Amino acid sequence: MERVRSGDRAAFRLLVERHERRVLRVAVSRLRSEQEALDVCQEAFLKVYRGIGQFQGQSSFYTWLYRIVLNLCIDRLRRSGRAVVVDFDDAVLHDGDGDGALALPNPFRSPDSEFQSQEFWNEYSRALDGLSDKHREVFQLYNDDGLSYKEIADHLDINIGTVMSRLHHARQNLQGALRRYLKRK
Amino acid sequence: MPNLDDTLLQRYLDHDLDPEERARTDALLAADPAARQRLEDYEALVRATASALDARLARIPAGALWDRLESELDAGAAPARSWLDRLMAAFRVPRLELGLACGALAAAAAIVVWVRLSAVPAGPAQVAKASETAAEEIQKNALIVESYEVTEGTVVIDVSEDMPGAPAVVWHFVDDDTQDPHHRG
Repeated sequence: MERVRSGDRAAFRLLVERHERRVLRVAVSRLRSEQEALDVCQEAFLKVYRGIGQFQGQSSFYTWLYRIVLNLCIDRLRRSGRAVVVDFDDAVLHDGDGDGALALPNPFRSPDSEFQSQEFWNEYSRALDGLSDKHREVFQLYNDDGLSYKEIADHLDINIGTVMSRLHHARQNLQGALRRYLKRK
Repeated sequence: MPNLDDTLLQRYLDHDLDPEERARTDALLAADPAARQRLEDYEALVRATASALDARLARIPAGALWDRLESELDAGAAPARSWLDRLMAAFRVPRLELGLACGALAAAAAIVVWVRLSAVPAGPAQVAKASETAAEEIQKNALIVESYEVTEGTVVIDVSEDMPGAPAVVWHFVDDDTQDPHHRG
């Protein structure tokens, strides 16, 4: 971090490479567009580079970066009139292992060509848009960003039972909307 | 048999159960094909949505973000460091040395202020007292050569007893009511 502060571009590149896939995932999840995700992450990392002097290290670097990316996504969604997610509260987001990195979102990921199709993506996007803001936000925070029940509860200032309830409803609704794809398996 | 509700299934799915709870749930699932099917449906949803997002992310070429950032950096983006960092960088001073230098400066400033406060001119009462003492000394030691009244008192021209040949002009403000007439010339 000190090297980045002093303008060391190689050190900055390492920082980018360490975190880019994770923040791109967050941005693609919210914006559903790789190009827009790249735009947002580019802007986020430039903000980081220019504002690295303001980073005090009270939270992890990734928490700081994640907050910037999520807020940029929210701004973009608002400007374009698309669904808006709840503002990010940087008081949360840590996985307790001290490296500032989030846990992987879930243990079930595996390559699956059918679910990687444009058709499924479009259907999934529509299903997400069909959720209420509250249900979609909890689903994305858990499923795509890797936050725990507790972190989501702190983030949204709700209790864990509400988090589980919203997550359950989001999953049920998505299951209903995507049933014909899921039953093919 | 305890109810294998969706909340428990969800916690099972999200690895939110402790080992004992998980073992109990495994036993319940083994005896409840319908619950097992619901769990498999949830697992399919989680796998499908994660796989879809991963596929979108994979469409972003490795290094694409850095390429964009590097272009911006070449165009002149530079880290905006804090004033302290900039100051230290300018003088190449480590933080400890900078702290010691600031401490020394503060101590010097405190000494200057203390000296200045000590040298503040005396108040009217102190001036009057000093003037009175000086007048008494002159009257005891000086030979009055010439004396005449002025608006604000008397001007005395005298010669010191120690140095009779060296006349001196002394502004001697005398209160007419208290002054000994022999000393008025």
